[in-house]
Amino acid sequence: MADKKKEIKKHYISRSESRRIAKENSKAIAKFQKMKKRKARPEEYVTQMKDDNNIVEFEDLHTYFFSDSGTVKAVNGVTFSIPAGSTVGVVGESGCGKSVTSLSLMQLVQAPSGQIVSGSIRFRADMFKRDNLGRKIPVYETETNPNGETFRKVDAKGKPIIRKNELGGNMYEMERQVVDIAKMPAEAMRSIRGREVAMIFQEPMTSLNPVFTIGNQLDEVGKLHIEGISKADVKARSIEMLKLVGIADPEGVYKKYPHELSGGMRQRVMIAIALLCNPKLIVADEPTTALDVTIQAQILDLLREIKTKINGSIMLITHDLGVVAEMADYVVVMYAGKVIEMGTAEDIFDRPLHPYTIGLQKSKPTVDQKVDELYCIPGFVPNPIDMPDYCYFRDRCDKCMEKCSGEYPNLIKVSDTHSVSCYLYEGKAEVKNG
Amino acid sequence: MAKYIIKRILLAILILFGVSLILYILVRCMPMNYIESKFLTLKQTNGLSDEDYANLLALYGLDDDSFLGILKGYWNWLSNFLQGDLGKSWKFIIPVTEVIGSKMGVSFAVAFVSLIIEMLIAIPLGIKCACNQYGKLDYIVTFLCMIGISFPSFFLGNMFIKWFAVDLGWFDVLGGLGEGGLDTIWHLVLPITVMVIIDMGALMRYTRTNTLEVLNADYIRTARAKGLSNGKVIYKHVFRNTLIPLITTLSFTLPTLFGGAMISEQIFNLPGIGQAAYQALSEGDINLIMGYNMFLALLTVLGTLLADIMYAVVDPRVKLGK
Repeated sequence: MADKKKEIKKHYISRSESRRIAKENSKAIAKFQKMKKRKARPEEYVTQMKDDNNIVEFEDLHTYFFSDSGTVKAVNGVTFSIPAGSTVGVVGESGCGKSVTSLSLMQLVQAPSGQIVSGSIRFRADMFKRDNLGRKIPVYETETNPNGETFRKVDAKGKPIIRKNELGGNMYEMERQVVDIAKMPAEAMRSIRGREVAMIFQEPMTSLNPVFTIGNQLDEVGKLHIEGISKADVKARSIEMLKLVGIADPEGVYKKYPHELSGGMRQRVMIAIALLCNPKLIVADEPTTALDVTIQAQILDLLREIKTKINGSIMLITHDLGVVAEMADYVVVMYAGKVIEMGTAEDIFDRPLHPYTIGLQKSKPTVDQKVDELYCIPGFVPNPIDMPDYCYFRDRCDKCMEKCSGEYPNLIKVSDTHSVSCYLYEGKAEVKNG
Repeated sequence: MAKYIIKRILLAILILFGVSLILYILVRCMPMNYIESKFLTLKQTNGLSDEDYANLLALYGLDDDSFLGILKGYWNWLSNFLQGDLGKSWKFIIPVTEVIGSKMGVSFAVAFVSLIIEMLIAIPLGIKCACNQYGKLDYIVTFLCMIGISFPSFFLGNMFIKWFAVDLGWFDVLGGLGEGGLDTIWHLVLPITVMVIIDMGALMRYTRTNTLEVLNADYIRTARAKGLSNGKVIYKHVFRNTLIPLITTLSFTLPTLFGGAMISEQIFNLPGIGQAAYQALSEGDINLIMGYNMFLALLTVLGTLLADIMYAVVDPRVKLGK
């Protein structure tokens, strides 16, 4: 009876309650928006990595949506890291917060309602070195004369020549910095977006601006991030990228509008845009979900190929376990805004531990087994607005114990690479560690 | 494209024909005709014999109010129209084309200037409001625009005359065009202000809604993911897409641009085409009413055609053809 009453309450908000929510929301939103707009000195967001092998470390990330019916904790304490040069797959069902995690990394969570509330996202980036006035410091071409003195080369007008980098733009002094994206103001974030970390979106059909040509949209990135590059060089770079992503007629496509291309072609263009500045990290948010299976395989091959070519890392978000098995070195399983299990691909696929992961594996269709009906995990994800205090999976779990009604289980390290957040393995971990 | 335009023009001729028929019937159905409004009192005071009155009606072609009679009248008007003759205005006693030609200039000048001012204020404001949705600016501007939209032009016009001309004495109470030069410009300030205030709200709200829609599009997120600055995202990626529906609606303002504002011109005593049409309408000057309305119909048809062409110009996805 008591339960029933509570359930009715969930669907209905009294006027005073909704007024209170609106008041709290506008207060919270104003605070976070102000933080994003502030002018911050680099010292405020430069930090250190926990492990120098990682390119990204999420630590206790909380991203909330302040909605009219309450605060939705879309990402609720996510901790995982992406080792440099690897592919990390983030899996989970719709609405589990995997896309929001990736958007938090790009600082692209739909503002003003969506905000990174706490936690940190440490990203190892090459940032421009700045002089006292905040200007970038160019690297000049130098010459050594027979006496062994080095001096700057000058052009016909007597101006020193700036050295060109591998993309054909001006070279500036860079320094490797670890920045905390969660604390970074929007202005500083812009120099990372598209240059150091690029994103491929789920919907190739709507992700390109319909009123500009493909060439225009590609060139834009080059013009923005490669300073001092000539127009012709930008175009050449764009066409080169189109060729790289396997478009047969790059010059033709360069002049076309998005609506003249198929979905697969558009996704290739999106990848070309993402790769234009040789980013260190590519965030691929369900890059193949909207595509048919043959194109899917091609796009995945392309991503893998390119990853080795530019020596970058990929954060691959998907709900397709097949895609993860094929692509990922490490797998992070998310459920209702939390990481419930993570490990290497072998760990997750050969030795799944969390009942949810096991259920996911079971609900995947297999070729070699004849099944009348696919397995389906019973029950529903709890309402994101009123999350329970206990394990979010308790009500759907077939291995539920008495302890599960207690507080949310911590991540338990089962092996060096494999951790799981479930009381079932509490004892076992100790055995392994000891 | 050329084929499409020719097709549309041929279609327009058909539409104009239908419009003229309906218009003529409606005008003839008006309760008071020109002769009645001029001579009825004279006849009632026995200043005019019944015979003369009937002759007058017959002279103006208003004697037969049966359906067939109206159709006959229409046929007369149409055959003249097809020969390029819109007839003489009964009120102004000069050809209708001359009335329209001589009075269009004032109307166009006023409408054009106010449209430009409107666009210069409403479009940037709409975009600004959309970018700060539910912010202070958004609420204030929306509130003011709602006030502007809600005022009828005759009310606001008369209030302005009372405040700025009668009470403060800054402007000429009688309105009109003044003595040329700066004086004329000074006389046009009030009517233009009123027109801007009344029409601006709708345009601003329209811009705001469209911008909001575009702001939530996936390709805007892509543009941000590229690292573009906020200004560049808004004035390049958002604005070009907001422009598509905006240009189309602006093309529809063609009739108002040349057709004059009937009520505002009447209130501010501007000798524009709107005022002439108002007077013709109240006195039953059929030739001028028909001429003016056909002129409006033609502008409307051209406006829609222009909107379609502009659509193809600003949106690469739209191809005119077949």
